[in-house]
Amino acid sequence: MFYNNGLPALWLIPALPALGALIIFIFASRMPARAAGIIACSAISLSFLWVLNVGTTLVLGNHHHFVEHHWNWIAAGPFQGSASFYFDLVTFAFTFVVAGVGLLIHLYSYSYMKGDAGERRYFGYFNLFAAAMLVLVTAENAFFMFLGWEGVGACSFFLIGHWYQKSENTVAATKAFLVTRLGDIFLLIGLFLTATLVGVSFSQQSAWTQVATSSFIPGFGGLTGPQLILITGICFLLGAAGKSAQVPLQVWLPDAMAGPTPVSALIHAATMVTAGVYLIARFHILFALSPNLMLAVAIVGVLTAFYGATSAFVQTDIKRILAYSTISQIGYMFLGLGVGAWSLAVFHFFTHAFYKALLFMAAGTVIHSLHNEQNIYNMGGLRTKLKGTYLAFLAGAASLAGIPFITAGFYSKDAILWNTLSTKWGSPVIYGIAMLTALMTAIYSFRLIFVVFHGTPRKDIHVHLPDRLLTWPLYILAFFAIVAGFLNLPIVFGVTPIWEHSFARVFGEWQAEPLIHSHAVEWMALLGSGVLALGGAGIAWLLYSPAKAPMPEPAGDIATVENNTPAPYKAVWANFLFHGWKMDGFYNKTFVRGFRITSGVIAWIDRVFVDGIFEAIQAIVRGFHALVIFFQNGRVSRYAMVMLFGAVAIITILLIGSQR
Amino acid sequence: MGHYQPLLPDLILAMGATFILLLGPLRDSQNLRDFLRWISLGLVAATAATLVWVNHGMATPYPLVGEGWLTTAPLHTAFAVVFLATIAWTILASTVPDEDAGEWYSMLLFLGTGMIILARAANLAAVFLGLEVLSISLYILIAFRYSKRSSLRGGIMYLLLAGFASGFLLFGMALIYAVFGTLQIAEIRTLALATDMGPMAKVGFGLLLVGVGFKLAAVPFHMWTPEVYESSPGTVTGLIASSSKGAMLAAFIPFLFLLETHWSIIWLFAALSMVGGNLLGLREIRVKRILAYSSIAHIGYVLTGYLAGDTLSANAAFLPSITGVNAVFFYVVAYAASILGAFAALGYIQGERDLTLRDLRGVGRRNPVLAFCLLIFVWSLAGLPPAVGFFGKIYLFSAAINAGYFWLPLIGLLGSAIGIYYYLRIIVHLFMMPADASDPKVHASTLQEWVMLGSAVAVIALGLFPETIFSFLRAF
Repeated sequence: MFYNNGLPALWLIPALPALGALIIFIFASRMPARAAGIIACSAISLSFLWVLNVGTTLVLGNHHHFVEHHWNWIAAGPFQGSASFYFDLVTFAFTFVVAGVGLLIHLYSYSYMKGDAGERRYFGYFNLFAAAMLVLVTAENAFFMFLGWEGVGACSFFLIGHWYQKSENTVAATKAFLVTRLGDIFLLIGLFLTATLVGVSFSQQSAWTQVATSSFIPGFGGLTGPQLILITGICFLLGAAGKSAQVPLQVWLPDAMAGPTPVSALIHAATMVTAGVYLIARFHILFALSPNLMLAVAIVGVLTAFYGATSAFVQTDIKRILAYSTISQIGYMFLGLGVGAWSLAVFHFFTHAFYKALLFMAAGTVIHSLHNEQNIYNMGGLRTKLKGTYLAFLAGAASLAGIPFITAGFYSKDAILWNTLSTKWGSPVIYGIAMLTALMTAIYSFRLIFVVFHGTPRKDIHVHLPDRLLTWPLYILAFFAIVAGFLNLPIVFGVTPIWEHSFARVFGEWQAEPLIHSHAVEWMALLGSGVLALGGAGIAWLLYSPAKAPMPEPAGDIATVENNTPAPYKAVWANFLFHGWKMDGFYNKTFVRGFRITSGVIAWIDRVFVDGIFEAIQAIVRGFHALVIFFQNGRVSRYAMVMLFGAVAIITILLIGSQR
Repeated sequence: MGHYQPLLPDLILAMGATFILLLGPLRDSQNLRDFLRWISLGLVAATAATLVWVNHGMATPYPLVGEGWLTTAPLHTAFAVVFLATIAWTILASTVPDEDAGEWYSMLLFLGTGMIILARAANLAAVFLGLEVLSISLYILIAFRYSKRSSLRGGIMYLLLAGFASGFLLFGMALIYAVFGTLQIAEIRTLALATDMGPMAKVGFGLLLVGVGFKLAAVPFHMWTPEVYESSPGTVTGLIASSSKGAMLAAFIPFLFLLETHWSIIWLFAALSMVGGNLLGLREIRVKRILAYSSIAHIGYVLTGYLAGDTLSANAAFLPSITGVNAVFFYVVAYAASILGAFAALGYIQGERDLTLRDLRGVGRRNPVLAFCLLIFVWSLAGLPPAVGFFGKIYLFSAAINAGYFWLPLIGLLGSAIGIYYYLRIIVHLFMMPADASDPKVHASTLQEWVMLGSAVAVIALGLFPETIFSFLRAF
């Protein structure tokens, strides 16, 4: 049961948190609120231990992957989906983060959510989310993966709307759900195409190479193989963009910060939003077969990275800064995928999970200590009061900014940048934009540090010291945010990049090889991005050091700026960036209004014509009812008379019929 | 004696009924009532066993004084066994009147005797004999709560109208005999198919159809149903709707040759019943009347299947292995399983006055088991999956479509759509309406609740495994 042929069972990984959620939901009313947290933490820690067990077996045994078949789930013609699990290095990376970082965030939540009215519900959904996310990354085929995909979407909805008493939170939850659902529609179309063309099992994906060479495929209206690949890939890209908050479906993530901060750390930074990266990495063969598709992924990635960095630049809410930075960083992952650096995209996901979860949780500690204050201009001078949190935050921000040589973020981001410049799918233009983005990333990272932790307190808020569960998970994550980079040191250091080397087994020939072999050029690129990071930190010091006035200039008192303020800044461009390039307004004016008008028209048609038809039918039926019920008056004489008429009618019909 | 051996089942049941009738007045005690109940059940079981045993290996109609009297065809034996089962079910499920227990059980057994004779009738005289035994037992059973005016009124109404209908039937038979010179249905069939039917024969069969239509309560001979159903005890209503009509249908199956000449009349019966039954029930608030009107519609569905006959069409499109007659058999079983339970459940709820939808409110809370069973029965009557009624309807309509009838199933579907309205009203009142000031009174013993639950399970189980009914039919 727990071991098959000496190999550890995979189903336990998602089953343990699922069991935890089940226990919490069934016995919620009969357990103390704290017990729910203990159950949830135990379930996820057991799951994490099991992930370590499976992962070490995989790595030490030098296996390519494990497969575990349970039962046939969907079987309808070409749609064959089984409840089966799959575990390779990519799965290991993702499960390690989901269960490992997830465990730290569970522990953190145990303290953070203490005394919350919905504590049991929170932990129930937290565990359910972990279970769904683990199904997503351990599924053996895309249909089973889709089960987890939708499961995490639902849990994200529940957890964003955790404080549902405030209507804006439910609005944010609904927005997140609907926008990702829009992407899911495309994902489903892509899945159906995959199912009909090659089958949904991940081990069947190499069959795309045959599709790429066939000029005619029956049943697709004359579309050629490469065209079908392009369509399928675009559908997957849109599905991934919805889930991972990429342009053009990125608008939901900043609003999703309405949920509790640990939710943002787990779901909207470390795990769920990277599901799109996982999806494309799983279908890398499909993408690699079409250069146009790769270019599309790279453009989406670099645009999103740029978009997120510019928007993060002017935000005043600490969580929204981090949300935009998440959008931007996932953009880098997509860029990595788009240039064929599959393993490096996964590596950036890996390091990002640590430092972004760390930043969110440290921000949560700050928010918690300041009694739910989120505006950074009301903070300041926290360096001395929250020393441990400051150091952890500094480590995270340095990693985010990519401070050279000592942080994980530097190694993972720089590797992607180098591949952008050097591989066949990359281009210097994209490289340039990505470098510019890196500079801005460093600036907004250190803006956070200087405004929140340096100088003097701008507002007299009593600082309430965090307990150990709110700080220790930060230190652990800070450790990883620094050292995780050493898993993949650049080749120019004269060492083997362990990560890339191991993942070559998974991505094999599809992994893009650098076309530029000159070590000098690579050193220059490396040093260039390092200089950019340090320069960004310097610029941040010039702009936001305690001695300077906050930039850009606010329209009024910047400390009172709220997220939904129409125009907090004097400068038009700053307001434009503050509202995320006014994408919400644009979508409201075009899609939402268009949809409302269309549905209004349809509702009118429904009310007038469709309802009218049925009301007419109803009136007719009632009229006939009145006609027939008239005879039913309970008198034997009338009944006998009707019988007689009936008999006469029958005989008449028969006699007339016989004369003919 | 060997000459009469094939009549053994009918004799056992009739003599047992007489015996119980004589035993009844002895002493009125709970013990005696229980004894009578079990001995009646035993008699029904013995009859069914004898029926199967006697029929085994017998190919020709039962001879009686030179004429074929009863048929041994497997279908008809199966029908007879089903009807005996409904009698046994009723014996278990009905609330025994405090007095007159002997009469109650005896009449039920006589009713069963009438049914098994009618269901297996091979000549016109047997049809009439069975029909009258059945009807006379019913007059008494309908008026069994004779201290109530409405009960007596229902019995008398049925007596008068059924007498009227029997007149038509007998006159029709006389005309048929005058034309063909025989009472044997098989011989009449041969002669009728061989020659062109003259007007006299046509009128004779037309009058026969009036009698049959009355017994089946097909529009326009349906008028008696609401009052009679309303005034009878619940379980008796169930029997009138299920096996009493079923026996007439079984007796009508040898007359399938009438489809050649009289199909338009049967078509009209079916169409008018499906439309009329569903329209009539639309705004009714008395629950038993709702089901009475619905039973009219159900006869329409059955006649739709009857029109498909007993031959398989070569170019059948839907479920080609099921003939119209098999579908009719299926439906009689399915309908009996649902309607018996429904009327019995309503019988338990019934108070002093007529039971209205309003009286059902709160039953779902007061007695959830009973309400749940009633839900399943009504669900099946409405023809919703996975209850057995759904498959019954599918078989009937597909048989009709295979036989080339297109409009009739369409009318049936539209009629069912209207009918869903009043079936759902029952469910809504059972579960979704707040109870009035006083809780409804429900009198059901533990045995009765178990019987109901068993039937409800059977309705679902037969729906999940509809093939069971066909294998039962094949076993004869």
